[in-house]
Amino acid sequence: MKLTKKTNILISTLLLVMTAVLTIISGLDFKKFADYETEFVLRENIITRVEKFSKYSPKLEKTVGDSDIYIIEGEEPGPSVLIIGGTHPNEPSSQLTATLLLENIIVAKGTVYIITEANKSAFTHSQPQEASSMYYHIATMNGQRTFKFGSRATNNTEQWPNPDIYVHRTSGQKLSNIDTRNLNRAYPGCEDGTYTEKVAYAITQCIIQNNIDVTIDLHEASPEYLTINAIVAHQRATSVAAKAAFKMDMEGVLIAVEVSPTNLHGLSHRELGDFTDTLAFLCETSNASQGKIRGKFTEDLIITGEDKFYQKASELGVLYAAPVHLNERVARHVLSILSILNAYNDIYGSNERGKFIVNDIPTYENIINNGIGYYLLDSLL
Amino acid sequence: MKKLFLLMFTLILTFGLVGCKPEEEDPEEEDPNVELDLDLSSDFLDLCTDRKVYLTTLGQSDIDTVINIIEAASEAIPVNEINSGSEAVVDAVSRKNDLVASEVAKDGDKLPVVLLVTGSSGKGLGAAGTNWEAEKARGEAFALAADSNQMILIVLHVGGEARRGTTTDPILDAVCPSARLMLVVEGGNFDKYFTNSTNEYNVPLHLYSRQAKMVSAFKTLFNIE
Repeated sequence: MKLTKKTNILISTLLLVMTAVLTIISGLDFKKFADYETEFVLRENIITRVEKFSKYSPKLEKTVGDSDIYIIEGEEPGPSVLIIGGTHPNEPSSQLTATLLLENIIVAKGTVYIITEANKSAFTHSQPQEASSMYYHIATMNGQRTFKFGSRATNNTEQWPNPDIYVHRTSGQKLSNIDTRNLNRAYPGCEDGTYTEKVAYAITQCIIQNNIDVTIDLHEASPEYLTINAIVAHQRATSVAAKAAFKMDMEGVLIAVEVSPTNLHGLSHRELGDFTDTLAFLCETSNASQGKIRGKFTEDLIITGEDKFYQKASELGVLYAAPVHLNERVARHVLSILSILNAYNDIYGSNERGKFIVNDIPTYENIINNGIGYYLLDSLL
Repeated sequence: MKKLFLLMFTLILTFGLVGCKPEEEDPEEEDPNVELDLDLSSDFLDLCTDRKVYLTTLGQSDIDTVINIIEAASEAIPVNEINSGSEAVVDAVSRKNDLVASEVAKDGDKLPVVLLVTGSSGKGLGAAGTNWEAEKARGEAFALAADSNQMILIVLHVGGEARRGTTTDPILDAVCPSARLMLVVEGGNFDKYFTNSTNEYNVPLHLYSRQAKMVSAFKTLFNIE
């Protein structure tokens, strides 16, 4: 059938209008997602103060990257620890662990710094072509909390285009171009660098200016990735990491210790250890929702880690660690943090700054038995 | 022609059926150490007391973990760092990551004990500026010294499956036959390497479900209540 010119124009116009409508609808959805602010409940009289990244990296002021640093000081001065959550927003146990600590712990001696959204721009979009759920929900005692499942990388709206090859600034190491927007390839960062480097610079400066003794960067990895259920430690921190892992082993929780490779740059456990005096650690748990062999992406996959393809892969023994429920992943991170602090106390506790005394850290068993929601505060209260 | 087709069909069917015969499974070898977390026998009681005890790593990994296990067994046994040329102390564990056999000294009539922490880490080898071939050569020297009755070797493997492979197994091949005892976390025995070694070399093997369970072995070796 031959169409007339008029009919052709009509069909083309109709298709263009339909495309525009679909673009606007999906665009509004993404705008809503980008604008959504995750709530963190700050306990009065417990949170000593809140600082902004821009205090340490001034050019982040009035940008989406000006994240909060929550500071809980003990009654007694002592050593200090920085917990970094939300470096990669597609690794949810990272942010949830930081949130759980923010809303529960009482510090008697020492200072705890907590970041819940290390790369806030990466929380404003999701990974292209992954069809991931934008949000996930955790039932609390009296309601539910909503968290965002974002991307591994900074949003293109903050940093674009990617170079053909990403050259890490301080080492000159060549990396994949996508890593130019990866916070955990940007350390120690740069005051005048890209958006991602400015964020990394803020964290590095926070550690230097506050003389932070211990830094723990929380992550997850896909079950088919080698470094999983592991603590990666800078070479100055390996004795603390080994002691922490052994303490976890005594509790029946197995975790590997890996020494940070000296020739892989930009990562927190390498650069924060090299460019500051902190003992740098990075913890990994097993997350099916960021893996490549999963089936359909659902909110349930984020929470339970259950997926028939991963189940099959696990039965075939081709995974480094079977995916587990979010409760267990958070419980692992919390136990890792507690074990690192205890190991630090054993090794460095007799130094001038003394030992950490941090109370009300939920136990591994209790987090698994009660669920994370039991420990998250209801924002309405 | 019909007969030829019939013959060919019969032959194909016969070979096809033979091809479908299931493979016979090898009968499992007897494994004397399948039971995990067993206490060491009284033969090993006191093996490490009143002697010089050295601790080193062949593969540059997991030595800190073994120190934690020893400390968990008893804080009364200190683990000291030794430098080249310095003497090891009796009633202490003397650690040196790059210890060589010639540095291990006898103390009167008593043979020294060397705890060899095996399991290579690429990152650890790189950080220490060595490689698995050099580590294997160190291991061979220890084995030679043990074979000529100059020292007692105890082989430890605590890092599980991740610490096995092409940079670890040749080192194990070099030292396991000369060991007095092998203490292994079971993940490292996923392919029955150590159970095969115990059968082949007649070296006692104790397998542990996890690192913390190995503490009891050191309590026996150092005769700690």
